[in-house]
Amino acid sequence: MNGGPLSRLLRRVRGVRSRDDERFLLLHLPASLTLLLVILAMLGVFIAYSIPVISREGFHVFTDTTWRAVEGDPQAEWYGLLPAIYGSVYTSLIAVLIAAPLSVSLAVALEELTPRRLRGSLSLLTDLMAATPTIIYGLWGLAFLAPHMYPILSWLSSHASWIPLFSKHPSSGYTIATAGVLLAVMSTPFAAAVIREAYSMIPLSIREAAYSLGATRLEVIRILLGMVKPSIVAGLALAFARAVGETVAVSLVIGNSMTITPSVTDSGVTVSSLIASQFGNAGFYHYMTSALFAGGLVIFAIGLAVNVAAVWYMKKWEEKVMGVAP
Amino acid sequence: MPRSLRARKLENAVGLAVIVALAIASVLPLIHILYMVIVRGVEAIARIGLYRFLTEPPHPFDPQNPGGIGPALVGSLELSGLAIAVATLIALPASVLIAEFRGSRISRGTLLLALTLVEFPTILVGLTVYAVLVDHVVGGYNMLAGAVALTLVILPYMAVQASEALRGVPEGVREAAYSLGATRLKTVYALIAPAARRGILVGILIGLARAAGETAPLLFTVGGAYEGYHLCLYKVGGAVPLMIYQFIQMPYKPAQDLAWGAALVLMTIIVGVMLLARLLVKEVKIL
Amino acid sequence: MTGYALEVRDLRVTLSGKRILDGVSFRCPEATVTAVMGPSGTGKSTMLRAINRLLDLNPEAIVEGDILIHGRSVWEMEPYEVRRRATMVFQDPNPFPHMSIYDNVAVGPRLHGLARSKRELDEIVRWALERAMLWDEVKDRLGDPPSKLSGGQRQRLSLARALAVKPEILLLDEPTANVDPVNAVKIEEAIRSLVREEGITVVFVTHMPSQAVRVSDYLVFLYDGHVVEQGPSREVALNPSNPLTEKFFRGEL
Repeated sequence: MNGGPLSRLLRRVRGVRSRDDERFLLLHLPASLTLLLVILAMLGVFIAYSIPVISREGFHVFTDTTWRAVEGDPQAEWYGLLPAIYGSVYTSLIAVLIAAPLSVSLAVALEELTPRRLRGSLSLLTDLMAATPTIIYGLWGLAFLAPHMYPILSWLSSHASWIPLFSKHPSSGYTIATAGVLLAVMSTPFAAAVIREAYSMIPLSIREAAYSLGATRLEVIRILLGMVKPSIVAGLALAFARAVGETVAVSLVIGNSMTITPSVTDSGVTVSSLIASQFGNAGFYHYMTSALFAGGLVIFAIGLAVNVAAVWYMKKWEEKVMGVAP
Repeated sequence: MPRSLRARKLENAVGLAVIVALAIASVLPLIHILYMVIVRGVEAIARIGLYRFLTEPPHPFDPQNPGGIGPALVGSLELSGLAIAVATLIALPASVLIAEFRGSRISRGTLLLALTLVEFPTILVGLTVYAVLVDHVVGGYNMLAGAVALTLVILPYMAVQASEALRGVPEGVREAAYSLGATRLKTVYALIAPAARRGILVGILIGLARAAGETAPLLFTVGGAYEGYHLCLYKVGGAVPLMIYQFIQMPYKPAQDLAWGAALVLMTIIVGVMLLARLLVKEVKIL
Repeated sequence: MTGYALEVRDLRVTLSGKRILDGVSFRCPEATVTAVMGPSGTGKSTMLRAINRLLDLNPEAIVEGDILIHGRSVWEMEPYEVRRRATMVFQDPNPFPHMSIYDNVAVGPRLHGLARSKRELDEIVRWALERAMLWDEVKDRLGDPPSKLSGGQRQRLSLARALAVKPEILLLDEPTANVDPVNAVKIEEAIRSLVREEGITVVFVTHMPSQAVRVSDYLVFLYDGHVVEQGPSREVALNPSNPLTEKFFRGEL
């Protein structure tokens, strides 16, 4: 084995300098390959399962608004995912808009305004928020949030229906607005954690410099937030991607109706809630499973794009501003 | 004109108050959620008694004897246990690879893969496992598919967490370990990894909490069967979060009560695991 | 009014239960440089942070005694007023990495509303950069981030940022310790002319006796939390009355 092609290949990895190192690396490669295999398998599955519907409908499956499931007559079936894609993006945008001030405030309050004695128990609370299963949030959304949103939303739609956001009178509390608020509640601790991590990395000397100029506490916070702005953007982008992928909580409160409407007081649907609610019946139809996988492909693409962009953006910023070597 | 000190003082006070108010507003939902889960959960469990609630199968249509969550709980234990075991076996070597070959392309690549997978929507993992194991290998919903899906959900998180723990081992300890002259394998697993055991254990605990609480990966894999104990890996089964999801949507009071009771059991597990993790390390990272 | 820009009276500081400063008193006449010298770890930086009320940020710090700026106790003022009037330059250059060179200097005047117009702000920025002897090197690239500057330039940028809030007193914490000799000379020069031409009062902390004598009008020798000796620089340098001071000048402490 010494000097063989495998050995030469292994030695090209930095830190491999002996036969012992080679064996060590070889033993650990399968674990790394598993991760690669998982990503490739996911991509492969989603492409393969999307092919039937795409080869029948073409790109229309992503741009059409019709959703027609016909049992026993595959030729009459037609699936357009646009309302679901629209709903995913719309609810996630609402969530991020609400989560932005909340998560920034939460991060600043914990890092800057909480006395050291309280910090431990408070961050336990936020950790718990992040660790609480989504089904529990869904349960709360279904049993508490939706019924309590209903009177607010009906009031808004009867008094401010000239605003397109509230143009439709809600028939129940299961609306786009409810899903957006629930998603905001769920993503706030996550975005706050990303922001906090960057905020706590700010060197003491920078903080002292801000104070030494005679800035008030709020002004110092503003300067420091300016410094971690990229992490706020990245944290919210990651929160957006998570919201797009969120399934059970949303499907319990959004009402699941295939419509495209600007009105947040109307019920709607998201790609993942569509998959969750339709997957059980999809076997009765010829193309529906494929259409749902095509929806998965959309979430896949949105998630991957947002994640790659956010991670790249953060890395650039760490190198440039924080002076962290790549 | 210089901005007056008084105006800035006022602005400072108002601004800080707004920040604190928003921060409090963002944690209030969790407190209300805990309150609701406890009140409704206790109510549901008290009707039949804790022991029977934890061991009996559910009768979602029977208001006289609603039963409990026994099969779902056992299913959850089976799924989470398997997932944790398998995920640890893969995540640990992956994290060692990331930490020991720091600076190499393979280390950075593995870390990037893990970080990407961490952020992947769990519904996609569930669908993938459905396509492979349910649709092709077994030909029906089965517990194995659920265990695999949960493994894939927690694996990347655990790999990242363990690699960070390993990276935190001081260089001095590493050098001392290597200076003893054991093979690299022995050095890493007998000396370096134990130095990072707290961090690794926390990763396993958080992984456990996630495995116990995830619903979306189970939607298309385990099927959801709660009448009897289904431990066979090739057959349908159930789990607590999936049961909550399915029962809360039923228009029957006993079914919904069962869901609230199950939610309390689930939250108790999560809180317990989190407290345990907190005892081990000061900062727990859940991302 | 006492005629002194800064008076420190019986300053005692405890950090995490450890006494750092034990009854430090000295006075700085207006438009002079007072060098506070002493070996490292003797409490010089802590003293500057106490004057600037930066120790307010440290819950472990207990500060006793009085500090007067133009006769008024800092305890009667808001901390941010104290910090603007007696602003500080730190040992390590610490410009805000996310702001341009221009914005780094402009941030203080913006906070305090010192400029009525963009032109006035430009004037202040230019004045501060000129005073810090940096203007000629950066005037064509004010929009660059500070990461494009050398370490010495970054330190002069930190000085310009401090000057732009129009302080009465400048507290310098070993401003040349981490800077190359050429930049160190520029910074010393900038400080002398600031005192001469702008009437700013300077407290210059350094662990190098030669630098202390070179830059200052008055010397305060701090050792182990106490003032061992103080007086006009020339006198102290030529005839140190305390053997410890002599030892410090010989480089034996």
